Amino acid sequence: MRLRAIASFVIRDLKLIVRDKSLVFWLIAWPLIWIFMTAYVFVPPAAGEGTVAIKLGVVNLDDSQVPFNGSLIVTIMERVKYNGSNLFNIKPYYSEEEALQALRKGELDAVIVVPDGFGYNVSNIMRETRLKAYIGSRTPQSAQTTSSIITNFFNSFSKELSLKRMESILTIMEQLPIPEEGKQWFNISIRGIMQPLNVTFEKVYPEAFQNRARILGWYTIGAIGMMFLYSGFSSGATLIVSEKERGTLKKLFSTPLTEGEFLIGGFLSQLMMLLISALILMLVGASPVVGACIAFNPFNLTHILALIFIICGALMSMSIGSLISLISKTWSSASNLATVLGILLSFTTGVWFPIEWMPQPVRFLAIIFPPAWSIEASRRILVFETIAETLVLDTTKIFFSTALLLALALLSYRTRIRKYSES
Amino acid sequence: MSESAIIIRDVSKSYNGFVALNSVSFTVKSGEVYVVLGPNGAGKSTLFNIIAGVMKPSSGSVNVLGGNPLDPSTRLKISYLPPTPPLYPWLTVMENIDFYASLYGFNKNTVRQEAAGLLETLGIRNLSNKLTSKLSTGQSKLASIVLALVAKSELLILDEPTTGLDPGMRKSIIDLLRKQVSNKTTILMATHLIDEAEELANRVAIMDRGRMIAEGSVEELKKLHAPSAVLVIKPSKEHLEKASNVLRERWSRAYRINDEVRLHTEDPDENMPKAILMLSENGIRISSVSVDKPTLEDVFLKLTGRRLME
Repeated sequence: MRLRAIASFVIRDLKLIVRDKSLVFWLIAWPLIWIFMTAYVFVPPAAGEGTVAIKLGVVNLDDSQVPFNGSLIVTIMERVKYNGSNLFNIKPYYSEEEALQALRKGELDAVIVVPDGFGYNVSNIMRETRLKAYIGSRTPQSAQTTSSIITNFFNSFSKELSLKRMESILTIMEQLPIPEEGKQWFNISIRGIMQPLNVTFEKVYPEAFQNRARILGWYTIGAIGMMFLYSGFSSGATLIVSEKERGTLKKLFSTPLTEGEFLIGGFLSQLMMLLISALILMLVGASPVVGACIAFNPFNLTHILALIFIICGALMSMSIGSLISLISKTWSSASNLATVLGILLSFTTGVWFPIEWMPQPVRFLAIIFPPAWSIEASRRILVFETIAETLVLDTTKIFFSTALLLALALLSYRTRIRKYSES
Repeated sequence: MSESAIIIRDVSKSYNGFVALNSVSFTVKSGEVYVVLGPNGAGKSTLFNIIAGVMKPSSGSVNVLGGNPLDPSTRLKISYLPPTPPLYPWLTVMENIDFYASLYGFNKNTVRQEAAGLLETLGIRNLSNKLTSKLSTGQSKLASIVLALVAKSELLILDEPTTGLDPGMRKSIIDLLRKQVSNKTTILMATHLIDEAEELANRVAIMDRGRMIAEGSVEELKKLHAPSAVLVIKPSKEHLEKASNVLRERWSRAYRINDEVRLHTEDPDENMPKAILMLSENGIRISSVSVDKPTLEDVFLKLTGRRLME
């Protein structure tokens, strides 16, 4: 094995990075576009601080002459604030039909119909109060959000109303000639009836998603994984067929170059390209322009393990590419198939989109797809700051599958070399 | 240096049932220029791939420079130039040369000096730092010749090195190859250009349909397989086809080549007036008639009944 021959492949192909614009696009520009899209469109700098405004049509049919009537609840809704902005953008309608037409046209998110007698019913502690709500669905997400907000608002309203009525009953009870023990028992019982379950809610996010920087860290590693999948697949799939179509394969094997030197040289040069690209993505991701939080300390052995996982991810992607080369006859078919498959898998295996976003039947792909394991394990270290001890099983799985896929790549390349040399 | 650079014995090669080489045997002496002539599909490239160690023969034995070309140490002494220039488009001419030289383990500076001299000789020194994707077909071919020569190998295997080149470029290459011969390099070359073979070859092998059908020096081949003379008849363009058919009724060895009909004959003095008379009786106008010496093309025509460039 001659190191100089192997190194000459690396030197040869590194020149390609600076001279081939399409390669620069796929290796660096395309994943950077995704990182920037994430940083400035999907998770913009003000993410989490934004406002939600529900376009609400209100049909107020109540003309009760009491202090708490339909007009008052409309006024309350108009004043509800969320993150400093009005939660409801209210538009009055004079008939239910008119409001529903606007809802069907997608002009509104929801319609509330306040029926006649609403005020009398609310004011009378012994009466049930009715209200109608229609939820539109301009998009599936908006329907869910609107439904949730309206339900929460009226649940809170209903709860407040219950408490007020309870206070009124208790005030009346105070004035009745009942023994003190009886009053206390009644007080406790009526609270239990009015409020059988008093739940307090508090949102707890995974540590990595507590702030934007960590979300961007998650996606920066995802962009590296995505680039590995389509570029690694493509470089693995075209390693030999590109030499054949260029007319250089036969010249190479007429020199003292051995098959082993050719494969190691070719594989190493492709690996170097992927790693340089990964480094650039990581640096740009962690730069103030994007602001991703990636915890990396070169003196931390766990962080070094994350780098090894990243290298394994690149090697596995290229090895899978070598298997694609077995079913592709030309450079363009190999490259196109590899790119499409790589992008598709990066979207469905938890590399770019969180696996939880995938439909249940698709999730098994992430479970059986080894490059996704290496990306996920790197994330757990660099973003979640997991300790190495918790990754023993993952490490074993990743190292074993890397070795297995490399062995398969070697076999498939040998098959290809023999075939192309003989044609 | 052993006396025989290449010894091929009963080499056959077939793929998927197609016989590309059928029991080919020949020997190339050290320091000689051995030219293999044959039309496309004759099996020349397959033979060269086997000799260069790129391909394994299906049967037979191959000995190159005293070793097996499948062995990298034997290939260290061989420089093979395939018909398509084996250049990487994103590298400059000199970077391509550096890359291949490094596969041989040559010193970069020595190779660069040697390459600069060769590029100068071929008149393309100014292209040394140009990306090969920007070169014309002819320039790429010249650059790849430098790739092959810079290795200073004991054996040069050149598959159609001048195809697609203009006469000026071709002459530069032929001159350069002559210089190599004087340096005791053995050259195995495939071509379908007759004048190139006649000009350079010590010995010529003629291949057709996977078989080697004749071998020897140019003179030997002509003596053994060519007619004594060739009547070259140029009829008017509109009568070319008819003239060839009329002459073939009497002489089976009348071949239409480009705008002339070549009539192989042992007695040109007797046959010339007969041919002219026959053509005029058929209303065919003739612009010129001459007697020519036979070429290797005529040898090939006689042996195969077909043209080399068909």
